[in-house]
Amino acid sequence: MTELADVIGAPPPQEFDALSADEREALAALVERAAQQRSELLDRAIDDSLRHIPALLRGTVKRALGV
Amino acid sequence: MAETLERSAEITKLARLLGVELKELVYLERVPAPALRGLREQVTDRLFSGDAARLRRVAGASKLLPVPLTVKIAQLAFGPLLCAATAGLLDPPHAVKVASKCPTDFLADITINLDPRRAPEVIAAVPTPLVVAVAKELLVRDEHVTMGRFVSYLSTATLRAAVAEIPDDADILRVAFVMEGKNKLNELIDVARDRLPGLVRTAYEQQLWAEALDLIGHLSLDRRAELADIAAAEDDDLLNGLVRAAQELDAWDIVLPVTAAMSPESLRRFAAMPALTQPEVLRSVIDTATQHDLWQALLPMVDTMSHDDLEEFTALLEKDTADVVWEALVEVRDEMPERVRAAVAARAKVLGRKDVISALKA
Repeated sequence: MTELADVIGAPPPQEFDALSADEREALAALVERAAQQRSELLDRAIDDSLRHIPALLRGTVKRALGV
Repeated sequence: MAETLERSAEITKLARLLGVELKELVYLERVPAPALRGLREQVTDRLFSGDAARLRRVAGASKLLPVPLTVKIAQLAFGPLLCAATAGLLDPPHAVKVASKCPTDFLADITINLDPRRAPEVIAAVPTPLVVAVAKELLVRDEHVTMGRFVSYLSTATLRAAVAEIPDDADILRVAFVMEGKNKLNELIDVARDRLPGLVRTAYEQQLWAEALDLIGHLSLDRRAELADIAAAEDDDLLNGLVRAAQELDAWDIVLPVTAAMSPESLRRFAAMPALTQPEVLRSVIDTATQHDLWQALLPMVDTMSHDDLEEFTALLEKDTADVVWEALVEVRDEMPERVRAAVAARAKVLGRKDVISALKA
């Protein structure tokens, strides 16, 4: 079971203790999924952005992006 | 009263942040709004921290490109979600240059996804005309939740300009209701001073009393007094509507202090409203005054009641009235107008409450 506190890196407000274990797990899963999707979105965005950059600048930008 | 709607606003924001439908978070309706907000901030921090290093590089790389190219990439490759995540990492002057070249609808999309906590300097640097343009677009989309998030980050001048572009008073009430940082509500009212009569009338005509009472509850006493007198100058239908709303929304804890701030003439008019003389309403008023230590606020209104109305009021003090109510009345005996004290004492005598009679005389 994924703990909500583990996913967000800190204990959530104590009022969330009133949720059931299943509900807290569902919420944790949504947060993990959102983080994963955001990271994948960023991967695609960086790749896509390089296509729009003129060749002359592409190397400099790639170095700045660390890719 | 306000808690239910605040909770709804917080769940909406969290659903957006997680990219899910509201129905997936329905179980969160049991969690208080402040806790939901706390979790939302934790989740925002988590989503940001996961990609912080790469986002910083993206922000740094954007400075290497001409602004028009950055704008093109922002729209075509990054999209509003990632632009919002990056916004706070840009140097404010650079961010403003980029924002100024973005289409307004795209800026609105970014604003919806932006956590203002992460970009206060950028927000402060955005020129007023641009803020106003985005605000107008957000208004078209009924994005009151988003607008409410940013109000407390705007300068007074920008706030004034933005409010001037909100023609419908209902929208002002809705934005104020979901505002984050309600300490800024006094300032909002100050820049919208000429709109106060319209806000009161709109609350009545469009059944936005929950929003209006929440707004009133967060204002300073002098501003409440101003709104109270404006309301009291309205017709009987509106005043009775206010009484009914206070009853239905269990909001006497907000309304009683407002009545205490009314001018004597306004208070007399309010106290004479037929809706206020209903026994169940008066019972709610008594209970609220007792629970929230508001008898001092209530006494002036009671003192304006006619002899018959005062008798009906004290008649609600019955054999099974909780001791805490009598104790609360005794506690304010020194502030109690003489006719009210006499009426309460007379009622206590009928009920055989010698203890209360002695305490009132002391």
